[in-house]
Amino acid sequence: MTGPIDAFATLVRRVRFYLTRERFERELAEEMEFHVEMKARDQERTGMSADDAEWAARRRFGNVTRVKDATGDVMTVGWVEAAIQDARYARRSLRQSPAFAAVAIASLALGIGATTAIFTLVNAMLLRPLPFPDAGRLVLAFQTTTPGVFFPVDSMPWTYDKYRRLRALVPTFADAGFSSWDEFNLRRTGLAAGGRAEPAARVRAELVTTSLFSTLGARAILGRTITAADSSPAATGAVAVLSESLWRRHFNADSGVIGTSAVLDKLPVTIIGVMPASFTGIREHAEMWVPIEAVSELDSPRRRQQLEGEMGAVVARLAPNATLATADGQLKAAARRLNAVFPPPAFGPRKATWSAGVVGFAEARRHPLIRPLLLVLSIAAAGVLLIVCANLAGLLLARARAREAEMGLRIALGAGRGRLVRQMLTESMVLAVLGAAPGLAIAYGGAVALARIRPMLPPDYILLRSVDLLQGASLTPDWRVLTFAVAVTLAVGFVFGIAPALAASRTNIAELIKVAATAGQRRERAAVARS
Amino acid sequence: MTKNERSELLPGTLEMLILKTLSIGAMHGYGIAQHLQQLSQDVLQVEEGSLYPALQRMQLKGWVSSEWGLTPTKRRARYYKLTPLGKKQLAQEVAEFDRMLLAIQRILGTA
Repeated sequence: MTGPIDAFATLVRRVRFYLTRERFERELAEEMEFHVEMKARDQERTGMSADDAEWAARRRFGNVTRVKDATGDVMTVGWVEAAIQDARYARRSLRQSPAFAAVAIASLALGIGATTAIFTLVNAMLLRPLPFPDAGRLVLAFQTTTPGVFFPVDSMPWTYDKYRRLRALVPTFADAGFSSWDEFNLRRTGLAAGGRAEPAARVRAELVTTSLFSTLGARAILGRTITAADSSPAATGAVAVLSESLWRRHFNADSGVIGTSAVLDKLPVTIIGVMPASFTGIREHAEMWVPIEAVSELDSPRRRQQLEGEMGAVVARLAPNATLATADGQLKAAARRLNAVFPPPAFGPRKATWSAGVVGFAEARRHPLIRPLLLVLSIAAAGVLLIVCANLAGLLLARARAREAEMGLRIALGAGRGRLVRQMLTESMVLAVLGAAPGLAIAYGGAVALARIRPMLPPDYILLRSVDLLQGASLTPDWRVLTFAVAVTLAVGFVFGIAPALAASRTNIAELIKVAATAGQRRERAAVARS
Repeated sequence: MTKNERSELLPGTLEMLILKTLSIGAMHGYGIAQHLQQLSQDVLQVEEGSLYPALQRMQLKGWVSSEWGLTPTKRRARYYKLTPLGKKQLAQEVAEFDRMLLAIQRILGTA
């Protein structure tokens, strides 16, 4: 008749027992003493002598030790007790061979560390979702030209003009944004009087439509992002949003930077926000974001014309129930219609046409070489781990031979084979866990080091796929990396421990007794010969 | 009392008897043992130590609660008390026991 609440209450009582073990045993002893004393006194009253009374009372009570054990056993959970005992035994046995323990822990740390380091990179580049809300609905629209005569690439940049027409033609794009790319000379203005003139810095800015930030769903850490209201410039010029790295380098991470003004080439801007380090825009190493609509209004007519033809990428967010296939179909249809308005350049006698397609945004940013590279690294790390396991299994087997006498004694005293295997496995698990702690440190250091030596591809107009995935990515272990580390540790502990454990449990006592007996006989004979 | 005048306790009934004893009032372990001995007129043989594991089991299940107190002679002792859950359990076990007894008697009656 126990419901879940009763089961929980029982569990709480058991836990409390483990925490107050000493007090429990003390009080139980006191209680039983009281019982026996009262009984003895009663017996005395019936005329027995003090000694006889006490003896009779104890007899009537029963074996005190057995009662103590039985009462304690009610509270304990069988396998927990055994596991705690095993762990204590493992710790003692490892302390007795510190050299072995050191070697084992060092090799485990290296193996687990290398594997986890690679996984950290895999996690950062392939598994972790983009830091945007509902990132699965973000797509990149690309256009291609058929036949691929002039540009041997798979994606071509859109022009700003085409982007504007595209939005009307593709209803599955709930929201979309255009992002172009340019370099400017940035100079701060409006600084406090007495401040020395700051030198101009060369920055890479993304010219984005005001809808880009809302499409991505990115949020600023300071101030705000660009919204639709910013499409026409204010009296102070256009707005601008800084990247976290630019904010640190040129603005001294000053939290009062919001509202200050600067000049991009001849363009006056007001800083309105700072983005987190994890936001790197659409292109690599983008440092600022400026609304393209405002820029086109502020600048010279020649620049305005240039901006129409400005080439960039189109990012969109799919409508809630739209699929990639639907969007793809609509985009292809749209491209066909655009062929009429913007005929592709003729390359010799063959006529080219535009086509288009859509691909997941996260997928689009991954260079095709990333997966094979990571696969090779993972295989190498797994190889290292296997070698570590084989090495340790060998060490443990050698150790087991040295401990044959101890195993034999335990079997003779009645330890079952399963218990021995469990005991040995606990030892290898303890070793694995001890190696995992420095292993995590090695993993983090290794991942950071590998990230630092990654090849820096130059920012490319056309090939979106060369985006640096590790820029702004945090390599600190998240839940995925930690789960992986724990799983690898447990698996490794099992793999290298199982063979020695099984071998140790098969110790033949008869053999041992024979060997011990002959050794004893030899000692006796030597003693007799000496005397 | 000689040994063959005492009967072994039926398995599973010790807890029921302890619960019944405690339904009269709070008692310490020795008091429960005394009570069982006296009321059964020494027929039921209970190794007094076996009370303690049983009491611990009942505490674990929440049928009984315990508290340290003072005896009338100002000595420290642990007193056990029936909980509402324990009262329910007692009623259930008594009902079950009666049913079983009736069944056995029926079999013996027609044997």
